[in-house]
Order: sequence, then C-alpha cells, then structure tokens
Amino acid sequence: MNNQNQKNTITPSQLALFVIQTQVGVGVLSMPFSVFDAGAKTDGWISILLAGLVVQIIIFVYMFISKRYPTSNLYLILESVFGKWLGKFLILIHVVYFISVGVIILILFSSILTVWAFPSTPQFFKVGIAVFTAWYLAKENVRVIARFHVIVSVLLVIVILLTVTAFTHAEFRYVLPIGHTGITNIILSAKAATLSLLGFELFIILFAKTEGTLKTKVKAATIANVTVTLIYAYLAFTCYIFFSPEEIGLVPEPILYLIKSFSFIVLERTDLIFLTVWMVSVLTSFVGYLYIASLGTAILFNKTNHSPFVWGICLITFLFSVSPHNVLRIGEISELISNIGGVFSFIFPFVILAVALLFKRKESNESKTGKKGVSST
Amino acid sequence: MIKKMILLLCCLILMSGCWDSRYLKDTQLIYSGSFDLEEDGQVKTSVSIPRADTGQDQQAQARVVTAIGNTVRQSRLRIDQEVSGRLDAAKTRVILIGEEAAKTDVYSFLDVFYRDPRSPLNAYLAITSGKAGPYLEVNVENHPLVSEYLRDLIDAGEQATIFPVTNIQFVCPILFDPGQDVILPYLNIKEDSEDIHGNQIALFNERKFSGTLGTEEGTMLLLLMDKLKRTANFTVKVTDDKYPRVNNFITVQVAGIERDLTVVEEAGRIHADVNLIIKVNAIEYPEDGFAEREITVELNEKLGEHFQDVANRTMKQLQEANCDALGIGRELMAFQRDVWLRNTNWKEVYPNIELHAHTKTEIVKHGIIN
Amino acid sequence: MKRLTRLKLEKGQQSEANANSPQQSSSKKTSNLLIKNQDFIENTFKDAGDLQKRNFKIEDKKATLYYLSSLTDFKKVERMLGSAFDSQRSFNSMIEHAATFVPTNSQNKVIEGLLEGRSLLLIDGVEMIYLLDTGSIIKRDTSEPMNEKVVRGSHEGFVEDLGTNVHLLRRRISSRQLAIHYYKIGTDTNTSVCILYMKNIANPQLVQEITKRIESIEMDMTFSPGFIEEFIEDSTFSPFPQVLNTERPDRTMAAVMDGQVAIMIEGSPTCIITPITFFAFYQSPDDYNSRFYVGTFYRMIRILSFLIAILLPAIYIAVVGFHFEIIPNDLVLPVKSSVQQIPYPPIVEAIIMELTIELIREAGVRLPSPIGQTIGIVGGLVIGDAIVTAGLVSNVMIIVVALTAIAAFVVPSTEMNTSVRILRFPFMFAAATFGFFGISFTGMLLLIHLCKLESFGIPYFSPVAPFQWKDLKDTFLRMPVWLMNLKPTAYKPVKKKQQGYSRRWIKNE
Repeated sequence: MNNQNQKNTITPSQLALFVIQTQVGVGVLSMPFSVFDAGAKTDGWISILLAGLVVQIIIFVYMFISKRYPTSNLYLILESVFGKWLGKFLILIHVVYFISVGVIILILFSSILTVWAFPSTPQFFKVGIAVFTAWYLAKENVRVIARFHVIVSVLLVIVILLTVTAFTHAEFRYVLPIGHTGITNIILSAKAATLSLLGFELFIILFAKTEGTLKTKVKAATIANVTVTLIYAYLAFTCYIFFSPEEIGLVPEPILYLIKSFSFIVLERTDLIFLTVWMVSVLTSFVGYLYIASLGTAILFNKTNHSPFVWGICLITFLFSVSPHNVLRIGEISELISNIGGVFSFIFPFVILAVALLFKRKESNESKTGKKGVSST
Repeated sequence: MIKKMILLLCCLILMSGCWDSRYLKDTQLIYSGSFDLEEDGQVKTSVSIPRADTGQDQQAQARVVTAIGNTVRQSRLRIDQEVSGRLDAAKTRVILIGEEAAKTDVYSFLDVFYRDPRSPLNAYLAITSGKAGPYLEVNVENHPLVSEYLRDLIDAGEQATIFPVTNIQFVCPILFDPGQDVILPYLNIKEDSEDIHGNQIALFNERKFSGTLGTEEGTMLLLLMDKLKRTANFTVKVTDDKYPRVNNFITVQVAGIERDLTVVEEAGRIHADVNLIIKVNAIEYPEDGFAEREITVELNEKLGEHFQDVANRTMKQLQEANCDALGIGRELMAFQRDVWLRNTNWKEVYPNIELHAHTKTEIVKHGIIN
Repeated sequence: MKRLTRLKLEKGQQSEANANSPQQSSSKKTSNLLIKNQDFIENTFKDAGDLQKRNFKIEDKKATLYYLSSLTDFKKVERMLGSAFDSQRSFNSMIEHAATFVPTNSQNKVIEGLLEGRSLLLIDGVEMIYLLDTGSIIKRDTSEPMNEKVVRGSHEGFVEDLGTNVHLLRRRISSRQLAIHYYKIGTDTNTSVCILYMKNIANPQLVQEITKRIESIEMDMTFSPGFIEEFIEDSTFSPFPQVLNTERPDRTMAAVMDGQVAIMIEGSPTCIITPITFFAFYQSPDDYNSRFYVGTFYRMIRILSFLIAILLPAIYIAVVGFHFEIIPNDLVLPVKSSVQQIPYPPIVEAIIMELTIELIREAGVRLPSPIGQTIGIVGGLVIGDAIVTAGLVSNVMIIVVALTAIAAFVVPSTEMNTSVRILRFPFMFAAATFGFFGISFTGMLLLIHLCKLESFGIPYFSPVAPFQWKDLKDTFLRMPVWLMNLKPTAYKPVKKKQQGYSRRWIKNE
C-alpha cells in the first residue's frame, strides 16, 4: 500500500511542468490573434498579464480549499462539500466538460494541421494517431505522465528560440502608445486571455498527489502560472511588434505565420519544425484533460484506478472529433466550451470555498463518517 | 495488443506514400516568377523552372513558361497545364512585378502568396521597369539560372544598402499600415546592354507604385530610415580643378550612423525632422592629406553639403511620390495619437508636411595611409 | 490453451520429481558399508562411461576411489593421495586435517561433487565419503574482450569459468561488504549462477527482488545469459535491453560500487548488470581515462548518434516525400537532380539500402576477419557505387544510410546497437505515411515508452525522466571525477556518498 502511494505522487516541480504543459497547447498558435480580436488590439499582452493575475487569485482560492482538504482532489472535495448525490452530479458535469475540452483540442488540432501542412491526410488518421498516443500515456499513473511532461518541456525553449528571430525585423512603434485602446477594452480582452490560460484547474486535482507542504505546492503553482503568463505575453508581444495592427486581424495563427517568414542557412520553412514541436504540446494538454476526465469517471464509479476508463474516454473523444463539422460550428462550439470553461475554472472554486466555509465542511469530518477512507497524513 | 500493433504496422506499410506526399522528383520547382498586366486587365504570369535532370558536370538550364489568366492563381493553374509534373512554388526565390502591374495594386498580386501555407514568404520581391516577363529570359554569363542571378543581385544590393531588406512577408505589415509605405528594389535593363541593373528603389503610395529613387537618393533614404546594412558607398565631387579628373573625387564608405526622428505639430502643420550623423571611411582620395586637420575639416564640410543636398532631394521625391517610407504617420500614431486622429486623411496631409533632413558628416577613418 | 499446456508441464515435472524422489528419499544418507555406497554410485552413474573406479587398501581398510575421467585432473589425484600416503602420521588424522578432503554423508552432495569433477574416496567402515578437489579446469586467459575494447585502462576480461570471474572481481573489491550468493539454475544442467552486490550500497529491496526473480527460474538448462535476462527483466516486449551485458571486470566493479547487482553464470564470460538505465549504455570506461572535456565531447557525440541512427532516414524520407520546402534554396536543386531518376518512392529506396547494410553486417560479423573485410568492401564500395550508377538509389540516400549505419555502431553496447537499428524502421514507415506528423508521434510513443519502462523499479530513462539535475553530471557530461561526490541516485543506493573532498591540498597551499 505504501509502495502504491509512493508511485502515485509527483514532486512540486513535476506539478508545475505538468500544468504548464496542459495549459500550453492548441490555443497557443491563435492566442495573440484571439486576444487582439477581443478588443485589446496591440495591448493584448497587457490583457494576458492581467489574466495571469486572475489565475493567481484562483490559485490562492485553491490553496484555501486545499487547506481544508489536504489529501482530496477536486472530485472528492465536490462529493464531500455538496453531499453524495449533488456531488456526483457535479463530478459528472466536470467530466463531461473535460471530455468536451478534449474533443475541441482534437478538432482544432486536426483543422490546423489540415490548413497548414497536411491538407489531404484523412482526419480519421490525424485524430486517431493522436488519440492512440494519448491513450498510451494517459493510462499510466500520474508519475509517468509527469515524467513525460517534464521531458517535453524542453520543447518550450525551442518555441521561444524560434520566435526570437522576429526581433530582427521588429517595429516597436506598432505597440505604442501602450494602453491606447483603453482600460475597458484591455479588461474585456482579459477574458479572452484567461480562456487561453485554461488548464490550471489541474492544480486542485493534482495538489493531493503532490509531495511536500501546501506552501511548496502553492509556490510551484505560482511559478507555473507566472511562467505560462510570461510566455504567452512574450509571444503575443512578439506578434504585435512583427505584424502591423491591420495585418494581424487577417492572420488567425500569427505565431506560425511569423516563423514562416524567416529562414536559416540549414533550414527553411521553420514553421514546419515548429508545427512538429507544437504537436507534442497539443498531445500533452490533451493527455492532461484525458487524465483528469478518467480520474473523475473512476471516482464516479467509486474506483481508485483510472486506467480502465481511459479507453472509453478516448473512444468518445475520437468519435466526437471525427464526426462531421464545419468551420463555423467549430467556432461556435469552441466558444461555448471556453465560456463554460470560464465558469468552471473561475466561479466554481469560489462556490466550493464559500460552501465549505459556510457549512464548515472539512476533510476530517469526512473521514470520521468513514466513507472514502481518506487518511489524513 | 500485439495483434493490434501488427495490424497497425501492416496498415502503415501498405499505405506508405499516400495522401499528402509530394515527391521531390515529381515536382517542377518554380525558381522565380513575374507578374504583368495585359491591356485588358488580365494577369500574365511567367515562371522560370530549372531543369534538374542535368548532371553535375553540365550547366543547369531553365525554361520559362508563360500563361495569361483572370487572376494570378488562374494563370498559374494554366501554367501547370503546360508543364509536366506538378508545379510547385515553394522554392521560389524572386518575384518580379512589372511596372504597369505595380501601378494598380501590388497586394492583389501577392494575396496568393499570403494565403497559401506552402508559399515562399521569404522570397525577394522587386519591381521592374517595363514588363517583368523578359527579365526571366535574360541570359547571364556565369549564371546559368537567371533566378539565382536575380537573387544574388538583390542580395548584394541589400548588403550595400542600395535596396531595402525585404521579402514577401516583410512588406505585408507595411502594406496594411496606414502610417507607413513600402519601398522595394527596382530593376531595369539598360537599352545599350543585355544586363539587368539593380540600383534604384521603387516608391509606393499605399499599395500603388508611384515613383523611383536613384542610387544615391535610395541609399540616403535607407540611411534616413536607419537601415544601414553592411556597407553604403558614396562618391562625391569635392573639387573642380584637379588634374587628372579622378583627383576631384572622394569615395567614402558609411561606417556608422546616428539617426533621430522627431515629429511635432506646430501651428497646425506637422514638422518632421530627421537628424542624421554620418560617420564615413574615406576609401579613395588620391589627393591625400588627411594628416592635416584643415583638409579633413574641409572635406567634412564638402561631404556634409553634398549629403544634405542628396537628403533634401530624397525628401522632396518622397513627398512627390506620396510615399511615407519613413513612417511619419506611424510615428504620430505611436507618440502623438491625438495629432494622428486629427489627420486621418494622412495621404492628403503627407505631401504637404514639413519634411526635412539635417545631416552632419564626419570622416572617422581613412584607410592605412593618410 | 496456454493454461492447459502449463498444467501439463507442471504435471510432467511433478511426475519426474516423483520418479526421482523415492530413490533420493530412501537413501539420503550414505551407509558405512563400502559395498552399499559402491552400489549407490554405480547405479546412479550407470550410463556414464567416463566413471572410473580404483580399488586399493588404506591401512588394511578397503577403499575405493571414484572419479569422472573427463572432469578430473589425474596429477591432482596422484598428488593428493601421494601426499596422504607418504606422510608418517596416521592416515585418519591426515584425512581429518587435510583441507582438500571434504567429508560428507549426503548422497546428493556426493553426486554433485562427482559431477563437479571431484573424486570420491570411499573407505570401508567409514560413513563419510571424502570429496577430493581434483577438478581439472581448462580455461583461457583473462584477455581483453573483443567487443569491448578500450584504449586505456584495464585490459582484463571475464572468462568462461565462474570461479575465475569471481576472483577477478574480489581482487578489485577487497571489501567485507561484497556479498556473493550462489544459485543453481537448470534442473538438469545445474549451472552455477552467482549474484554479487555491495551490502552497504545496494538497495536491499532491489536485491530482494532480484533474488526472488532468480530463484523463481524453473528450467532444465541455462544456455546463456540471454536466458536469465529474459526470465528476470520487466518487459520483454520492449525494444530496449534492460540489463547491461559486459565482459569487463572494471565495468562490473564500477556498477557494483554504484549499487547495482551483477549476475554471473558458469560457462559464459558475460556478466549481467541490473538494474540499468538507458544512458548507461552510452557510457564507456574510456570516458574516465581521458580528459574530461574529451570524455564529455564523446559522450555527447554518442547521444547524438542515437538520434541520428533512429531519425535520419525518417527525416530524409519525410523531407523528400513531403516537405521539401525545408531544404535550403541552394541545396534543393542538387537533391532534386539526385532523386530525379529514381523510379520508386523514397521509402522503398531507403528500405533497399537499409536492408543491404544489414545484410552486409550480418554476413560479415560471423565470418573470419579476412573474409569479413572482403564482404565489407564488396558490399559497401561495389554495391554502393553500382546502385547509384544504375539509378536504383539516389546518392543522397547512400549518404544518409551510411551515416545512419555508422551512427548505430557508435553505441558501446552491442545490445543497444541492435535495438537502435531496429527502431529506425517504424520511424521510416511513419515518415513515409505521415511526414513530420508521423515522426513526431512515433517519437512521442518512443519517449512515452522510455518514461514508462522500469527495470526492477528503477526508472529506465533516469536521470532525464524523472529529471535529476545532479545526475546529469555523469550522463550527458562527464564532469571531473572530484566533482561527483554522490553516487547516481537512479539505483537508489543506501550509501549515497561516494567520496569526500579529495582535493583538500588546494587549500593547504
């Protein structure tokens, strides 16, 4: 038993990189555009920084929740806060939400591949291979997943290095004067920016599986959040100084476009290299959602091992993402889901905390009633 | 599990080389292309395709294929019908646009490049005097492929600060920017020779070609834009009476520049001033005498006069062509947004603003003799 | 179905055991009657033609000497008996004190002893049977193993004799903490297997696990270390070797000192070291004998060679077949003219060449070296040149394949070398079907597999996954030895410290 527990924990640094890899995914290519498009124009990078701040607040909310439930993940907390039936229902909603995020990731992934490099490879294969690879990883325990996520974090450095070339042809006057779009626009766009940061809800699920004190966990979460926010702000800023404000409205994947216009002595079309690297990022974020969705399903069925459920969830996501759809519907659905995501990630933590405080729910009560047998360490 | 793997492997082997594969051996690579406007408004596209089946010992050869269509894409599809194998533009090095075509709207010809993910966004772009098609058929000795010749020509021009550093993507943000205008290399074929000359700059008013700048003015413009590349050379006449005539001239190489652009609004008029300090190396001056302070000072003055002259001419021509290459409008947008918002009809305001350059010249080095 | 056969097997074994057991259980102990003992031995070895028997008398007692002539050194027998008889003291006290005369009354031990080459001395009226250590050992020199040569450092290698091998290791680690356990594997062959580890370094859980797995091996013979390897390793279907085979005592010693366990087998010069991590295969004892810059540089080259060996043909196929845009402008025409006349897709071209190289290697590797060289020349030079001239394969492909082949042979370990050569084929197929997309996902599958793989509970891809910053000092780099104060954490050693500060003298000056 002791050994089993040991295998299911991760270190704080693994936690940080796990979440970073889940956050940075399919959205990174279009993020500068979507923030720009939401109204902040070339001040979008400020919106992203603001969004990072909001996420940081949520992390602190998580901290308070986690203080009351040091060894439970989100699902167990839901069950204990809202009672068995409402809790189960909320778990189900969460699982459905996570699965639909997975579906959206796959759809966007294959549509970007179709547009940029593989127009005639059937979607069936593009999605199928991604799902197969994700299944191969997600069925493992959290430690193995974290190991993989840590290794591929090296690729983030490549992403940043590739975009540095843009500064050789930058026009800083495009972003000046800073803040000219007005506070309201910037704040409104912060909403779009927070949606690109989605994925941090993993913290509340993984806190229980992380070694160390709550303080170190929150520290790791903060570092992860700051890193992602800075990377996003940097990428957005780079795009804004490379493209003129009028052009960026025409380019839905500005980062790829930016990289495409540079060539090196030994390589041309670096965007293809970038795309290859980006696939790994997409996979890691898909695996992240797959993992938490299957974990939720396992708890729904009162099981402790999530592996058997990965299969089914993979199949569901696969079927949904290869089902026929067109560009407009993808847009609609992805907007709907990110709005729901906003509710789940930003409003739910407050609700949980409020209910827990109001009814003075705590983990120790839970174990006294002797339900899940979660031992407090 | 293992059965599944084997099945997957079988599938992979059987389906090898499907879908998106484009074999290099089956494609015809476009190395350079040109766009011209026909009288009836149709687009005439020419492409130069090198022949790859020549061995290493033989010289590479290229053929030029031309077609006319309503749009750029249509004309290219028609070329595809004339060529064996699949036509591929991904490795294009140079795109030439004829003068006539450029005078309408240069973006219309480039849209096809911006839209296609496989297009060569890093290809050079140049405007030609007259029709662009014939430029692809020029025979250049030692350079069997005209595409490579054109590329090297433009590259050398960029290094010598004769041409702006540009490619298809770099012009795009500027084409869309209301406060900036594009400048592009301008090529011409001299009447007395067969060779292509690349020493001028094409000026654009928004997306329309609107004038050219000569070599000296072009280089000066790039200096005024703070875009000095590796070298920039000027030959200036400093005296009149020396014998032989050669001794009247000094050739200098720009070693470094300091530029400062200030845009202010005074009494409803916009004043744009470029202060430029040019530090030069004397690389040829047969009269010698740099050891004496007076001579150096005098030369500084004479050079300064000349450069001021050139700069004034440049500014005048820019305003005549209504080409805001210096990005005065962008400067206003960035630093004095209120002024910009009052002058949204920028293209009408620009030709009448006070645009001045103030140059100062210093000889800082003079080679290894005095 | 499987279960049925297993059941049958079990039954068969049981019945065999039953057949043997009455004989053994009825006469566990030897008798004090010479005749009975003689009968027992002669019955047991009824069909052994090489069983020799000598009758003589010692101090009026009848005595018999048995030995297997094929395993016995006659001179030793002479010397031992001679020294016993020549002495003036009484024979009994002589026998009691002589170290080479081992008395036993267990019939099993008697049989085992005889099979190991000992002679049996039976004396009438004495229950004990004396075992004389007269085994003849034919062994070769402890010369440097052919496939693990180093430029500098020890040139000793293991031999086929287990005793010698343990001796070589004992001499290198003169510590009372060195634990050596012997096991017999093979119900018929009775092959000795021994495991070695440092009691104060190796993790006891690890040792326990290995012992458990070795003890559970049930087989009638052990043919080679490969058998043991496949019996004890975690995932047999992984393409990666999970134990390190070495014939070098110095390497074994270093591994044992890092907390790993060495398994040696009678009759094979190969020592199995386990658990092992991926990067250990890319280390060579030579690294520690050269300057640390040099060691670091070559280690990096080796790890680069891993990437080249598995990725280069795939990248070539993907580039020529899918994404030729990424070839630099000046290179695209030469590459194009090279592939222009090739009649089939790049994957076929690559497979032809890769298979040719594998054929040449397989043909050359087991031939005597002069013929092997000829094969190499014919294969490499003649075919390589002719195949390009004939227009079957492009010359860029030849370069790619040759580079790949060389890169694959850079790995110091043969096992990893073969794994790497096999691994590039899935990559090639993926590249031919999906271009970079395929390479990316195959690479991820490989990486995920490496992350999951554990050998005896030790993560295989350590120190990269899980990431251990401190251990990188001896993985990608080879830092100066005095900087590596701690043992690598990968093998979870009990004793973590490796050395103190060995360069104290710097302060004293």
